[in-house]
Amino acid sequence: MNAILRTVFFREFFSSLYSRSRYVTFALFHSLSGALFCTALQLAEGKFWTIQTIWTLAVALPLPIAVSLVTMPVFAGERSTGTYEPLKMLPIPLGDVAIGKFIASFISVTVCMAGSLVPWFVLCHVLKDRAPSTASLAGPAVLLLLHAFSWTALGIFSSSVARHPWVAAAGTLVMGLGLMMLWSAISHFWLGGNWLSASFPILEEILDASGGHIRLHTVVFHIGFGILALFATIRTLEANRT
Amino acid sequence: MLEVEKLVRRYGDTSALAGVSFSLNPGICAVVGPNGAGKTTLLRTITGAECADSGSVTLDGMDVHASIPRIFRHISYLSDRVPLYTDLSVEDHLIYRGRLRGLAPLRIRARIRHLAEALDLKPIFAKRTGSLSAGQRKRVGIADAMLTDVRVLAIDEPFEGLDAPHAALATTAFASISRHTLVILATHRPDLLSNIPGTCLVLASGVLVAHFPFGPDAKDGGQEHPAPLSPRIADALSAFYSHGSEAAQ
Repeated sequence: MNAILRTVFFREFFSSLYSRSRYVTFALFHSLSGALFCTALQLAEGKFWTIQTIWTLAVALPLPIAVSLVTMPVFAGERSTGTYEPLKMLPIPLGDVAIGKFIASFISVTVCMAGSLVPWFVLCHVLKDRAPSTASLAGPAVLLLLHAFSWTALGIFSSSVARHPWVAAAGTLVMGLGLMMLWSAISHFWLGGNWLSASFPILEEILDASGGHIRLHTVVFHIGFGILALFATIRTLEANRT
Repeated sequence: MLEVEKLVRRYGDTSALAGVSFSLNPGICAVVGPNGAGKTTLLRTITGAECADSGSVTLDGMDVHASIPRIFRHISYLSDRVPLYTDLSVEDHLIYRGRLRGLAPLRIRARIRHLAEALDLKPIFAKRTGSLSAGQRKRVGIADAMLTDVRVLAIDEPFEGLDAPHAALATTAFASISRHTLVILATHRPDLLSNIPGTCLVLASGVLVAHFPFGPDAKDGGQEHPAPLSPRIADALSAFYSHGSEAAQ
């Protein structure tokens, strides 16, 4: 880790610890996630989804909202407060700045998701012997980390092109959900799948992961997409120095 | 050192800079002119904060706009908005900026200590920058811009919000580095610089209407002027204003 990357990372990470909006984001995420988890348990557990699938869905569905709120101030916030200009006028590669900010945001999102283990442990405590083993969450946890990686990279890209933080947040959601719909459409029309479950990528991934399987194409897609988004971010920042 | 050749910058139909040319050496340079004259645009364009539509800016033979970001090692610019990280204290803000500029920790400390004395920042060191007054923000911004040794230091409205003693401190700080650094100040208060030698650029409607030396040693036709800046600027500006009002009529 070079000096600039390290400096930016620590600045972003420690400032997030004192950020009121970050805690509001965490609270919103856990409210949504908890509500989804409880509701889905009542409605779907044992009928067509396992507890692991429900937990994974309850974390994965509100994740884009949390990521868009965490990443929206990264560059768009600096632009709106004016601190982006002194940043871009430094004789340093903006790629280091972008990666430092990305790592700090990714850790924030991961810490936020880790809080979702609390309802899981509460449930295990209540169910006692009937509870599924915590080890069965390994697959879903890896999948959620992959989701967090690609969503965070997309959020950083959105923040690098938006002039206002809320535009960046909306951009992250629109681009991410739009890409998912596009992927589903391609899967439906060209690959001969159907809309109900297996061909819809996020559901397919979650059903696989909650059964303990992570497919190679899932790993390649998320890591590849994340790297592509970061590359686009760096190119955008460098191209807009003046 | 800094050569500006036929610099043009347009915003839509408005011409902010209409073929400005000049060359400057290390020292103080005051850029004056009425509101909308193109002072900010000139500073932003010659420092690489904005690109030019045509013309060239070279610093020691290097094309400024073609050498971004390398050229930012030699140029520092502070805009009139004075952007600061409002969640950090003054000291932390300066340390963070120093680290981003690649300074070693010991060098940052020494530099901040020096600037804190020069700009009277010690009483506000622990304050968050978000809670500072406009004048205090300006002093922190000036310290930020002066953290590293650069060839060109450009500051937009350096005296805005500063009281008389702090404006004098800032002037002294600029004068102290002007032997090796070109300090370009876009200001409405050129009178604050009248005791130090330098160059004045008078802009009006994007046109350079006057370019002359000022200060205690400045000469005009062999005669020394104890405080020649203000009358010269006044003459140049009044000539422009009368021309502008005639055109408006």
